[in-house]
Amino acid sequence: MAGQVSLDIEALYEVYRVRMFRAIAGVVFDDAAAEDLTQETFERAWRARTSYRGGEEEIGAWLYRIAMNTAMSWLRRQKLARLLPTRLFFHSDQGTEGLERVENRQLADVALAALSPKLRVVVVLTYYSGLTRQEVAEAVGVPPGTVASRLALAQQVMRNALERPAASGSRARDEASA
Amino acid sequence: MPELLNDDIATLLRERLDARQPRRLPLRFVPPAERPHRVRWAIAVAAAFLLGLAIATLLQPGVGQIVRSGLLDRPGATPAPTVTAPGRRPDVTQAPGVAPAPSASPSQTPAPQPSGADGSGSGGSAGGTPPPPPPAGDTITLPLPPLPLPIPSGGVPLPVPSLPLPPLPLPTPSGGGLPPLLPTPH
Repeated sequence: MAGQVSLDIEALYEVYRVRMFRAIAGVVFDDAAAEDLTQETFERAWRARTSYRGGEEEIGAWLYRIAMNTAMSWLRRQKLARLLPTRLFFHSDQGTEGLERVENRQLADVALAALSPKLRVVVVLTYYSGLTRQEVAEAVGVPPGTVASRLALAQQVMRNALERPAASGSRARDEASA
Repeated sequence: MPELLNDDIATLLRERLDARQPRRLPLRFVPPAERPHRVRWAIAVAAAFLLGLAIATLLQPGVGQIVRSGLLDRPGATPAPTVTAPGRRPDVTQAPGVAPAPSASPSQTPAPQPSGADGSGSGGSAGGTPPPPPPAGDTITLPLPPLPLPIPSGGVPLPVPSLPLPPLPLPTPSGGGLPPLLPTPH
């Protein structure tokens, strides 16, 4: 029922707030900023709630679109798009966990850090948020074919970065930005 | 093999992001306050002011300078001195730039000049106050009163004494007639 859905942003916040935070954190690589951007995302959704014309099943994609736009705007403001790989959160949560898990997290950080923000958004929405290609295309604002090509490029870049973890910084970044 | 690697990457990323936990993110959403109304009102007031200023400037070009000088030079009491300056204090430097001054004087200046140029002198109120020296108007009315000379306009014919002139003695030549100037040869 397009146009008939009345959005309860407070209820959506309780359902989506952690997921939005994690998706945003995967893009901006900054937990504190991700928390602020999560709140900003729901504030934007609250202001735009009256203009929502989608159905109930599209609310998640709509929120992710707002979240990714908010994250990308923040990245543009901070001008950190090319400096992000130097701000990895490697040692933030190394506790008593197993060494293998910590190593996997580091690998994930390396893989994500090798991507440009545009590719990272596609990867996070696809791999983490579980959106379809069409939903990702609508969230990012590009055709589905562009989403597919970006995803293929991101996979290649991450694979190269994981094969050469030591040199994952600049070389993989160059590939991603090419 | 690449598919497996992609799945592994996806699993890695999912686990990595699932491990992130917000620390200071509030549990409940607090709707933001309605704040844009003040900004909208401020913008509307500023736009209305600028629009009015533009229209006033189009109608009367001096308004823009008055407002500009009032806003920039003396923000406190600018309108009063600028308007009253030309009539009372001629030494004020802003008086010539004020628009009301020329608007007030042209209503008086055109009328006296043609009447004074004719020199009729009949209009006592208009002819007695020439506009250029309005502060010294009493002194200028003095030279005009000596003009009340009766100008004969043909209304009443004055009696002109007709003196009997004696007949002029015309000298007549002896011949009785004028000699011919040129003899006509025949």
